[in-house]
Amino acid sequence: MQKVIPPVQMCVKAGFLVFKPGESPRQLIIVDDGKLIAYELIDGEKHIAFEMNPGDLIGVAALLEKEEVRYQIEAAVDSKITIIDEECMESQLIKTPVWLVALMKSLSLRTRELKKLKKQTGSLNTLQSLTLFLYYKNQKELPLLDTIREYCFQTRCAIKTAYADLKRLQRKDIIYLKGDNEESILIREPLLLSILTDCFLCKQTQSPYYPFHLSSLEKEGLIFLSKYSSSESLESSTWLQILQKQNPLFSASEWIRFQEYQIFVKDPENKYFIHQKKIQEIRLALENEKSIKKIILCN
Amino acid sequence: MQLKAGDYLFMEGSFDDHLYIVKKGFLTAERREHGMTQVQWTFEPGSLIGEGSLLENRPHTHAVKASVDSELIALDQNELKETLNKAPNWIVSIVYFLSRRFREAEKKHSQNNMIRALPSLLFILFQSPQKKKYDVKEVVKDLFILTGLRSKEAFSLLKILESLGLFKVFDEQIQSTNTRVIQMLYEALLYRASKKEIPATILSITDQLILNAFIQTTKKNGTIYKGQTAIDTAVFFKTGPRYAHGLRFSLKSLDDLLHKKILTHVAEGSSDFVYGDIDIIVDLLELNRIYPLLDKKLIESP
Repeated sequence: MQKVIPPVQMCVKAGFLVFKPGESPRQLIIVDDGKLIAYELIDGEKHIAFEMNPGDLIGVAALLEKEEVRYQIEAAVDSKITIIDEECMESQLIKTPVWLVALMKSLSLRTRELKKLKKQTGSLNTLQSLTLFLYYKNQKELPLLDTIREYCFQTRCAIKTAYADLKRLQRKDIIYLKGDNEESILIREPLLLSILTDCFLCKQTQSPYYPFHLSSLEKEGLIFLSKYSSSESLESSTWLQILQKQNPLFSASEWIRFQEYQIFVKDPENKYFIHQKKIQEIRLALENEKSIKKIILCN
Repeated sequence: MQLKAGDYLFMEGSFDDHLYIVKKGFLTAERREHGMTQVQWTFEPGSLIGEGSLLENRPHTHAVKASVDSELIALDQNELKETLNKAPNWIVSIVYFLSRRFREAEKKHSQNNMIRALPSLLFILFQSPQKKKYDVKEVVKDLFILTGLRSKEAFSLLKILESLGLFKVFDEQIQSTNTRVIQMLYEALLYRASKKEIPATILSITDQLILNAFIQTTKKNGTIYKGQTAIDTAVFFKTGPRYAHGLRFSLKSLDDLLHKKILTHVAEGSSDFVYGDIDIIVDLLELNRIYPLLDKKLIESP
């Protein structure tokens, strides 16, 4: 039966060099009493990285994941410490239930993974994020480099990724890159960017994007309403009559759906008026259905 | 324990003091935001699930779902206690240290996400085509699409900005928004990040005192010049110090503000005056009130 090697317990005087990177062996140091200081060595100069108080420890990753400790550790005051080296750790881990060892490794790994995420964009879909950003910019022409930089500042997206996403939008004619050196971004139709964002959202929430699921009767009604110049508010029954006059097949269910689609909006007097901007948006979506679907499918 | 594909082991926010070890199968830790499912971690045989809940009785930060039929071993707190009681003290120290470090890393990650998303939130607020009034849910959703910031963190961020007086949230609407100050703040942050310098709109205390004195003195002695607010230079220099803790006023002390074109000095014939856009000056002072508080508030956020 393998013997457990006990850890080393030490009393150190203030100023004692407990650990020197590159020279000291891999070990884990626990502060039992007193205070240690971890220094980072930059160009040979010592900079305080953090303080270690009773209960604190350093070197877990060194022992569990064979990572190097990059700090120089010194005692700030007379202190008591416990030093666990590889042999001691291994002899104890053999006696420790596997799940507890796995628990320690898992916690250490997860912490490191979280730290890594700091440098990455949090956006789930960079193409969708860029599309929304361009929509918010709300301009027909934007300077390419400044726009990419601003977008990357906001999202921490890599410039390369942002440029690749711009190219994808260009290939589907959502935007154009203008100039010999692509100095600026021309937005074909800012509203199209909003539509594209909505389509992404529908795909992610697994809900249908309703303009692509309109019946031929609804499409006919939509075209009729887009030419309807009056902005008057009318009772719902009057609107239904107007629509039925255009096509007798138009029923209450189509009328209800038009309200759901926000083609009609209710005013404070419970009357309805046509929301022409919504109609314009739906028509624009229908005109660009193919390219939108291709972008969504390829993403 | 056995889980069928599609079964949930637990839901986000639930309490459960078990640690699970994946024996067979494949599971995912996911979060739902705005109807979208975001997979954060994956668990394969040998992986552990629920460390935080076992060690610190914390609610689960994710829902965990079996992607395929899976088998798990569950360990409860009694088993942990029993094992730790038998282990040497230093092993116990390591376990709790790792757990604490992981929790702190999660907190920092969440804070970092908020800090990173702040410019995007400001951008949404001043660039929104609707302006003045915004639906909170829409803002939070767009912020999630842009930056991936979760609703909980987005609401905290909104609360911080509201506490700084940038807007009010009422009836799920963001109202009384001072879009110019929000834009100024965004531009200051963008400038600071890209040029690694203090932006011109961030003023010294002296400049802020002078501008405050300009507002106060022009209330009594101001006139209009080129559509902006003006004051006789001699009157300004004489009465201004009253509102600036006795600071001595001279053209030299105005140098920075004149250089930044926040104030303009005109000396033509017998007229000698200082003028500036009072609305911009008020907003600049508001920006300078908020700017130093922002980092503090973000860091102190729970």
